[in-house]
Amino acid sequence: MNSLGLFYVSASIALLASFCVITQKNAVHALLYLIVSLLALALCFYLLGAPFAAALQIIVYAGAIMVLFVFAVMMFNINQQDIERESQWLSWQSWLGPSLLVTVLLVEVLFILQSQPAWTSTESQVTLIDAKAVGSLLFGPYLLAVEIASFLLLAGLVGGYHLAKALPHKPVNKEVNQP
Amino acid sequence: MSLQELWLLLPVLIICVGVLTLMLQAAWQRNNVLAQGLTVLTLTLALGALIRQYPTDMRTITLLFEHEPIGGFFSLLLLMVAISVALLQGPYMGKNSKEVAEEFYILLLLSCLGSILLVMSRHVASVILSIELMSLSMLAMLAYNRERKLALEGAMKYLLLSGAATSLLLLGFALLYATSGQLLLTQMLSSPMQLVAKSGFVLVVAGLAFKLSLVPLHFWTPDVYQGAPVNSTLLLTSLSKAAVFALFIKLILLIPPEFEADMVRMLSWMAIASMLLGNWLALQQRSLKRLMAYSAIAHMGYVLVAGVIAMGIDHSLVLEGASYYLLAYLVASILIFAVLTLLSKLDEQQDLDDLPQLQGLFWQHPWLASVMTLAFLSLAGMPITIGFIGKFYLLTLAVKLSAWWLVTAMLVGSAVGLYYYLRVIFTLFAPLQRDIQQTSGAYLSKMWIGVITAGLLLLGILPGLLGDELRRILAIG
Repeated sequence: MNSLGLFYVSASIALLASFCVITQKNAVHALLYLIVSLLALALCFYLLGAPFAAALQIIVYAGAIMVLFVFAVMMFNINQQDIERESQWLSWQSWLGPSLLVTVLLVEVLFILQSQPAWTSTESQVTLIDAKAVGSLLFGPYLLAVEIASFLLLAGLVGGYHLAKALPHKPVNKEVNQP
Repeated sequence: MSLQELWLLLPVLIICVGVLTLMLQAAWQRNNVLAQGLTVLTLTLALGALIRQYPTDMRTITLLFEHEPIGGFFSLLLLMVAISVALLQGPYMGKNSKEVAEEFYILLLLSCLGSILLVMSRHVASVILSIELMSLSMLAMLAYNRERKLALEGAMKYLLLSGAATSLLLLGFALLYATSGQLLLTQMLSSPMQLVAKSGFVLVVAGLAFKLSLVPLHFWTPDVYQGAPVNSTLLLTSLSKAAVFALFIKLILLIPPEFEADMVRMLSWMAIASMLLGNWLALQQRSLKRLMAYSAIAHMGYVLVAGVIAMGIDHSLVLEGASYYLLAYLVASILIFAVLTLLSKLDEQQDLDDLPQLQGLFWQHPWLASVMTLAFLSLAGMPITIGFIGKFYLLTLAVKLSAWWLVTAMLVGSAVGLYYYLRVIFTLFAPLQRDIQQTSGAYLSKMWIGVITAGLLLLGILPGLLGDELRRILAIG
């Protein structure tokens, strides 16, 4: 099996998992599939010759952001009833689908790691883009894009802060607020 | 990046410094007047810097941006809009508002920054980042008063649909990239287009048409307009439309010739549908903000006519016509929303919005009513206002191209438009029913409104004043 075949396997897993994300009725189940979808995408990146993007995909999306998602979904209005419902959500049947897909991915990763030298030498179209290449692009021609992205985050932060803080009950009076 | 390029970015850098200064000020001491002053100062400095080094030819700024006359002209318009919003926000919030002021000004500057970067973009990455910067900062401004349920609903709709539009845009660019292998807009569209690339371009157009609220992607417009605080609506209807239109016209001029016939057909239908449907739906409206939303749809249809014509005949005249029309639309929108802003308060659940509420405005506040009347006449395209000249430009161009369907739709749309604009004007002059409160003071804002009104009349009576200059400003011909 060459890298193209491996790519199509992981890409179809990504598609299948994404399809399950939007068809699942339960938010937690959908999140499980979303993680699978992101992992499969990371493998796609890796097979396209971008190991750094693959690592970022796993660390940032599948790691940080998904954990936040799962925490946020689980922390809304916690009481005993919710805890029981959650344990019901996470029964073994619901793990079955995502686990199956992830297992396929795992087999694929093991296969790649074991046979890597064999196909990287033959498939010469794949150019390797490592962390250094990405970094030198970001600090070279795309420097302004990084700066704008930081302003975009600032806009999100300021907007989110304003919308999420407690509602005011009386007029903001500057004299009272001063220490 | 060289020092030369940084120097060309000076207006943008000034706005960035303004954002940081405002954040420091909010951390140090909250003060509405100080924040407003800093914002206006920043925007004026940026305007001065832009005028001082107004571009006469195209220069690139790194890979991502370019400094060229069309972008320069649109940046002038954008800064004018941002200054208007900043000046109106003070009286709109009043002295003892429940909401804090600094965040609004920070978001206003960020949104203005995004829009100016958008008109300067020449690369996919900068287009996506700046369009998101512009819409994301606008989102929080649309729901600025969080006690208004309608505003929250509108902002939520805008968030979801604008996210969908951005993903359309991204998908379109991805398809174009997949076929051309280039990320610069000029190179991306210069390679021969296959079916995949064509569908990619159509998706990009759809994403932009959403932001311009062109039929059939206009459904979000009335709800968001009606819900949002009126000053944020002003920003939404002018800033984002002008900036996105600048990018739109740039993209359209880059289309390879073999794809032109299809695009002309598609965009013509969108323009005709926008003009007819927008004007038709506006007929039924009682809420002035909804009326303005439908009228914005119709007017974007008119400007799209310029884009359609641009592909048919020589580009220079079309750019001139489109810029003039957009200027006319912006001036009239600023004036109408400015009057509404001066009659409303951010803290209240509702803005002054319903038509019967405005009945007899002339007998109580003759100046405001006159300004509003002039602005509506300009939108309707009556002589002696700038709107007449704008429409005249477009009609001449359309006739020149013998695009009779477009001409018919424009004439029918204008006739229908005249009816509901006159209905509003008659309401303003009807006998007074109830007391209408106006914001007292705010002389600076009122002076600014006066200046813009004077511009509306002056350019309507003496169109040559700008018409001859516009060619030089846009550095065409």
